[in-house]
This record gives sequence, C-alpha cells and structure tokens, in this order.
Amino acid sequence: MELFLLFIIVGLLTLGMLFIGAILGPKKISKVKLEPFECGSPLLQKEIGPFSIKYYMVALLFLIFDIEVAFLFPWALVFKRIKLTAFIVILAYFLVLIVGFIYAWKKGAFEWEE
Amino acid sequence: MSLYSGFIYFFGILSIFLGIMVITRKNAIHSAVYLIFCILSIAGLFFLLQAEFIAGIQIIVYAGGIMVIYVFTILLIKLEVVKGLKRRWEIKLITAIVFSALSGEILYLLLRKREALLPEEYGIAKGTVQAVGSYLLRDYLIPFEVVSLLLLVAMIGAIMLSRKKV
Repeated sequence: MELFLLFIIVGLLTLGMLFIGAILGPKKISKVKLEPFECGSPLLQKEIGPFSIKYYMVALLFLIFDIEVAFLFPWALVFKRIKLTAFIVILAYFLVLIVGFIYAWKKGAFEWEE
Repeated sequence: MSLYSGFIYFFGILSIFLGIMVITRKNAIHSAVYLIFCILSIAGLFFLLQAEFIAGIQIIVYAGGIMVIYVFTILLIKLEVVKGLKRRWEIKLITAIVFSALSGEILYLLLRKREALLPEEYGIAKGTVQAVGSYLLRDYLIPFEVVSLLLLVAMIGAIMLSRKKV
C-alpha cells in the first residue's frame, strides 16, 4: 500500500514539475538549441550512419558481464545463511567466467586498435 | 476496482500501447526508444506480480543491456538498404504461426484453466531476490553453474564473431 502511494506521489510530483516548468519557463528557441547535442562538439554527421563493429563487441561483452553480475544479487542475499556452500558455488561460477575473461583479454577484445 | 488491479491494468494497457508503437514506427531508432519504455512497463507488471527479481533483471539486463545491443544493431546496418527489402512470405508465415500459437495458449489459459495462472496454489514462492537466491543455491546448484558455462560460450562466440582475425 505504501508502495502504491509512493508511486502516485512520485508520479504526480513529476508531472506537476513538468507542467509548472512548461508553463512558467521562458521559451527562447534558437537554431543552436534545437540541434542534437553531441558532447558539446560540432556534429560529425547528419544522420545515423554505419558504425564500427568494435562498439558492438564492447556492447556484447558488457551485456555478458551485466548478466554475470545480475546473478550476484540473489547470491549475496543468501550468503549469510549458507556460508561455505555459497562461497564454493560462486567460486566455481567465477572460475568459469574468468576463463572467458582471460580469453577475451588474450584475444585483444578490450583493445581498440587492430 | 482496487488500486492494485488498477496498477495492473495501467501497466498492461501501457505495455500493449507501447508494443504497438514499436511495430508501427517507420524509424527504427524510434521503435527502439518505445521498446525501452515497453520493457520498463512490463517490469512494472512483474513488480506488481511480486516477481521482484525478474523485474530488476528486466530493467538491468533488458532495458540496460539488450537495448544497447539493439541500438548498436540498428546503427550497424544501413537503414536505406533495409527499407527497400520486402518481407519474405516464409517469415510472415512463421510469425503468424508463432503469434497464433502464443495468443491461443494465453486465451485458453484465460478462458478454461484460470487456476493455472495463480502460482501460489502450485507451491511457487514469491519471486523476491532472496527467494530466488535460496532456490538457486539449494535446489538448482547445477543449473546455476551451467549458467556460467553458457555465459562463457556467449562470450567466446561474441569475440569470434566480431573479430576478423581469430
């Protein structure tokens, strides 16, 4: 129940702030303001273009480590109850993944230059 | 209608609306942005169904990780090339079969075997992170270790696929 109240209050607060901002805020639109923001530097290209595949590999590795870490949350919460078993289990889990980590490192997956 | 079911309806209708927006947008990046919000609203549904771990994973892995992959995939392909392609009829047929099978299953469950949708009667605990953890470390130890092997295979596959010299 408190959670729903929290959702409602936060939602209303957000909407209210957006609404008040839209009404009271000054609107001075200029060409520069409407440009897409790219870290403050001038735009490199107008549209979405082809990309280097290296970004994709970084994203894939990020996803894999992301899932790996996601499994740590349930483990961490039951660690206090099943101490030694949990430790051995996570050790084996990480041992397998460290093999992959070393493989990725040796293959130069973390290096940008070919 | 209680507040709880109101929230269920809200997130359900929102996710259906966002899903329709995903498949009707012309611009693939717009679709991806709608898909992020669709995933987040489905996470809200999981949260309301007390599957808190899945809700968290939905946000961390799907909205955070897999969407990055989707966006990179969109960036990697030339969109002008894709625009001209006609969808092949085999793919349409497979889509139709999968869609009708899934929706038929859901309709069957809703209309005939409603009790199958109530997990408490089947002894499934609440999906809090703690419950999932105790399941993983007590009853499903081997699958938990197999997950690491699966991730290892995925990692090696990712490196093999995206590098020219292996």
